[in-house]
This record gives sequence, C-alpha cells and structure tokens, in this order.
Amino acid sequence: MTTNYRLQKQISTVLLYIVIAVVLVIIAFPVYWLISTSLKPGIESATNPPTYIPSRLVFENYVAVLKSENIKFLRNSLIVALASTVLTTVMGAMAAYALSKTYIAFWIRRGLMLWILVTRIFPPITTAIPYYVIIKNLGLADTYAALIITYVSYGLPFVIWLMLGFFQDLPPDIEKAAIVDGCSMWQRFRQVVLPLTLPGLAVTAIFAFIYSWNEFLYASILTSFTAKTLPVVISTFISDQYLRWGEMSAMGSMMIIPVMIFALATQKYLVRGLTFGAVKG
Amino acid sequence: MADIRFENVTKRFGPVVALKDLNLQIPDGEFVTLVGPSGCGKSTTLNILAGLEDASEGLVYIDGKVVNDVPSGKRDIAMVFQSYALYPHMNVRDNMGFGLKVRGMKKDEIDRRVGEAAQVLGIEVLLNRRPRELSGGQRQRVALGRAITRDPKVFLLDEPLSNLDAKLRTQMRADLKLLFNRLGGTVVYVTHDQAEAMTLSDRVVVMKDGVVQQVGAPLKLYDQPANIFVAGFLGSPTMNFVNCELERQGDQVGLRTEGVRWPFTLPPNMNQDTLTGNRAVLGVRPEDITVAPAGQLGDGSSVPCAVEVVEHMGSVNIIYVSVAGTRLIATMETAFEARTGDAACITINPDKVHLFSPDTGKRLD
Repeated sequence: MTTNYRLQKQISTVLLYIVIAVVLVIIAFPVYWLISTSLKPGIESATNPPTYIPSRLVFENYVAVLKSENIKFLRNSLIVALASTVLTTVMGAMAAYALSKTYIAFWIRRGLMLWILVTRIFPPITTAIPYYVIIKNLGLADTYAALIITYVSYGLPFVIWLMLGFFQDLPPDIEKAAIVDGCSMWQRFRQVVLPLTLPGLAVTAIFAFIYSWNEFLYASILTSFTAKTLPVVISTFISDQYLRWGEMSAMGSMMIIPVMIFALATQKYLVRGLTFGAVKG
Repeated sequence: MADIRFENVTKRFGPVVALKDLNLQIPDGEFVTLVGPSGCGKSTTLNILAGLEDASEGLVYIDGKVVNDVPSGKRDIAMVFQSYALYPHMNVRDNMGFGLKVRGMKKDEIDRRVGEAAQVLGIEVLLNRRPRELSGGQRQRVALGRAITRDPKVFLLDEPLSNLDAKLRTQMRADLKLLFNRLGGTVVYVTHDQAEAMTLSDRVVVMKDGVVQQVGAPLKLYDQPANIFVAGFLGSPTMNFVNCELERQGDQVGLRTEGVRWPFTLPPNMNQDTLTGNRAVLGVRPEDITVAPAGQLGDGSSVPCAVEVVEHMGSVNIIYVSVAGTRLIATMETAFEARTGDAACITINPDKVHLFSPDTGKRLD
C-alpha cells in the first residue's frame, strides 16, 4: 500500500517535471532562437536545415546594429515607452480610483466602463487613418508627443479596468478609517490607497511598458525619422532585396533587455500583484 | 467631549429603510451601546454619526451643532472598526499619528501624544512594528490607540471586540471599561453581543429592523423590557416565553397554559388595566425558575415537569425541562443532578414574571 502510494507520487512528480520542461521549451525556444541567430556567423542563420547551435559565436551583427543612428532610435523608444508608461499608469490609476469610489448611478458607471472598454475592441488598424489625420493636423507628426498620446489613449482602458479590480479589493474599512482621520479624497489616494495597490500598479506599468515598447503599427504610421522607434527600425531589415536575419535578431535580442530589467525591478510587486486578492492579508 | 442628538433621522438604501425616525439624545460623557441583531440599523446609525453615510432625513447634532453637512474628518470624532482597519503599510507609531499628521500637527506634538496613548494601552514596545506582525489583541489595542491619540469629542466603536477569541474578548471588555472610565469621553459603541452591552454601558439602545425598541440603563432594560424582542435579546440563556390564558378571580389574575394552571397570581402592583384581553405571553428569566426533585412537589407553588437536559457549566447549571410539552430553561447555581426523563418540579418567582401582549409584543403592566 505504502510502496504503491510512494510509486504513484514519484510518477506524478516525474510527469509534472516533464510538463514543466515542455512548457519551458515552448516559452524559451523563440528567445533562444533569436539570441542564437544573432550570434551566428554570416549566412548560417538562413541555412536549411537550420543549425540549432551556432558553429561559432560572432558579434558582428551587434556591432552592425550598434551604430550611432540606432542608438538614437533606442533613445526614442525609451523616451516614448517610459513617458507613456508613467502617464498611462498615473492617469489610469486616478481614473479607476475615481470610478470605483465616487458615487455614480449604477447605469452611468456601467455605461462609462463599457465605453472605456469599447476603445480596446477596435482593431488598431481601423483607427490608424483618423489618428494619422488628427496628429498631422495638430502638427505633431513624427514627434514623441504623437506616439505618447496614442499609446496613452490605447493603454488607458486596460489600466483602468485592471486597477479598478485592485481598488475594489481594498478593504473598505481602511478607507473609512482614512476618511475619519480627516483625509481628503486625494490624500486617501496618495497616502493610503496607492501604497497598498503598488503591486497592481507594477503589473499595469509593466504591461503598459511592454505595449509601448513593442508597438509597431502606429509607430510606423505616425513617425518617419525623428521619433522613429526600434520596432520600426527592425522592420527595415526586411526589404524586397534582402532579409537580414542576423542584424534583425541582434536588435531583437537587445530590445528584450530593457523589458527584462523593468520586469526584474518590479518582479517583487509583480508576483504579489498577480496573486493580489486571492489571499487576503 | 460633546453631547449627541439624533432628530427624526431616517436612512434609506433604495427601497430599504435601514433606519426609521431615530430620536436619541446622548449626554456629554455617556457610554451608550447600540445593540441588536444583524441588519437592525446600529452600524448605519454609527456611520451616519461618523459622516460615512448621509442621513436621508433628519438632523444629527454633535455638541449642539448640526453636522449633516460637516465632513467626517471635521466632526472631531474617532472610530474603531471591527476589522481594526490599521494601515498595513505603516508601523504602529505612524498608524496612531496619521490622523494628527493629516491635520498638520507638528511632529513633536504627534510623538508626545502617540507616546502617551501607547503608555495608557501598554503598547510602547510595539510602536515600530507593522500591523501584520501583531496579534489580534495587539491590533485591537493599536486601533484603540489611534482613536485615543486624536483626543476626539466622541469615540465611535463598531463591534471592536467581535474578532477576538472568547477569553481575550472578556479581558478586553474589562480593559475597555477601565479605559473609558479613565478617559471620560462620550462613547457610542455598537455590538450584537448583549453581554458587552450590559457590562460596558451607561445606557443601552436596543434596535430591531431600523427601529429603536427601548433605551435605558442596562439593568432597567433587563428587569423591565419594553417588549418581547428586548426581553428575548437581553440575557443568556434567553427569557422563557409561554402563551397563557388569563383567569380572573375577583381582583386576582391567574395564568393557565394548556395542561397547566400556573400556581401563582400576578403581583398586585402590576397595572391590571392593561390586561384587557384573555391571553398574554408569560416571560420568565431562567434564573427566576427553581428546579427541584419531584419529591419536593406538593407545597402548592410548584408545577411538575420532566427533565430534558442538564448542562453543568461549572459555576452554574442550565436545566432544560418540559412542562406539559412546553420547554423551559432554568439556571441554578446550586448543584442539580438529574437524567433525561426524570420527574422534577419547578417553582417560578411570581415577583419576577413579565407579561407581554400576544398581538403587539408590548409589555403589559
């Protein structure tokens, strides 16, 4: 009986590890493929059948993409992504707090929430032309502002909906205590609510950052040179005459780094954030 | 310190009336407890007084001034919540001083007040800890400390002991009484625990379905409950109720239940003008019933019964008996040994009986 139980437990442990390994391979392989391609010499990245392990490691692709012009585009990407992340998170959190704590008739609140969500339902391409026309008429074409405004408007619904859940999970008595202690709504938000919803903010910030960092469609439409970001630059490695896998992979690999740093910096909050509400306390 | 007055206060949540036409005056320095079952309107009353809810109708006065439109933070009240509601991201010192900091008080003064309150509550060693590092009892003290530090006109306490275990609750009950005796502020205390209401308060307000049932000193409510609800709510075990028919013989009124003629007449001081009908509900507290072995039956004042269960609680025995099919509960400090089904007899103290109208539930006397 005991032996049987032990055997079953061992088998299920082995199965569990196999499943974990398969999932890990599925998740990690594209990243491995990207990095290994960036380190392959010359045309090895385009051979058929492919080589899974580079025959030798070369850094020529990195040297090629690290020219001064691309450093400028990296700076563009960082400015746009960080500015839109900060703005989206701050504005979204404030909007969500106002929506969750102000007395609004149920049907109006519901209507507002749906309206906010509707902007996420359209495929981005459907609003690309109107956006282009508006941005051009405002004289903002090929500026940071064009991309930041666009990313904030696209990111806000997501942040509002996500933060709303975090605010609603806060025990109401804590806010009541702050009210009795004499806090205004702003003081409550800044001194009590915000510190307690940092995990939520971290989650929303990282999603907002990833969205702005990776966004391609609007960046390619609204910018031409001055405010061009890295995803658009990567696309220039593909043309009707060539497909520069090595350089594309080198730049792709480097693009992962800021997101990884951002995720590692917020990881402590991220884990708490994703489990927030599951267990009180 | 301040007096409090509710004038025709009603609170509606949509179609639901949570509080109906409340009129209540609480003098300066009084400890008043609002007690009643869940949904009786006691917490709503407290929230209206705290400024966390608006009254649908009526006026609320603190210190003679109408406060309906005064924000919570400007009412000079402090509140202790059932869940303690400590700020998890602040240590005990910051939790206790937060209300003063928001009001722009200087740090030295805040530190002095926090130190004093911590000393009163014996929590000086906890000042640098976070709430999650404290036990339930310690959190309770910190929540009290946060209120005391503010030195408010009115203390509001919303079921502050209900999250503690039974032993700690009894201990904190005594500590609370001592603390507020010493502080001497006006206190409005909400609980569903009648023992807390009885032991802590100068006056008790019993509520049901948003309506005040009776207001008075704890023992007055216990000895002269205004209706069946108050009679049944206060006291543990609860008062026994028996539907009776009235038997008038000249000036004297006796009581009969199916199969039993109760061997006493109503006390002559009872206002018999109120006994207009032929029926009444007899109310007897468990401690006013004496149970004796069947052998002691026969002096004319006892009624035969069968023992159902005897619960030995240590200092007191709770005895469940059946009198002609009606269950009664008696409590006795003296030893009583019996087994289920044993014959026994009960005697009721006629001076301690209560009569209620079977139609309105109101006290008849």
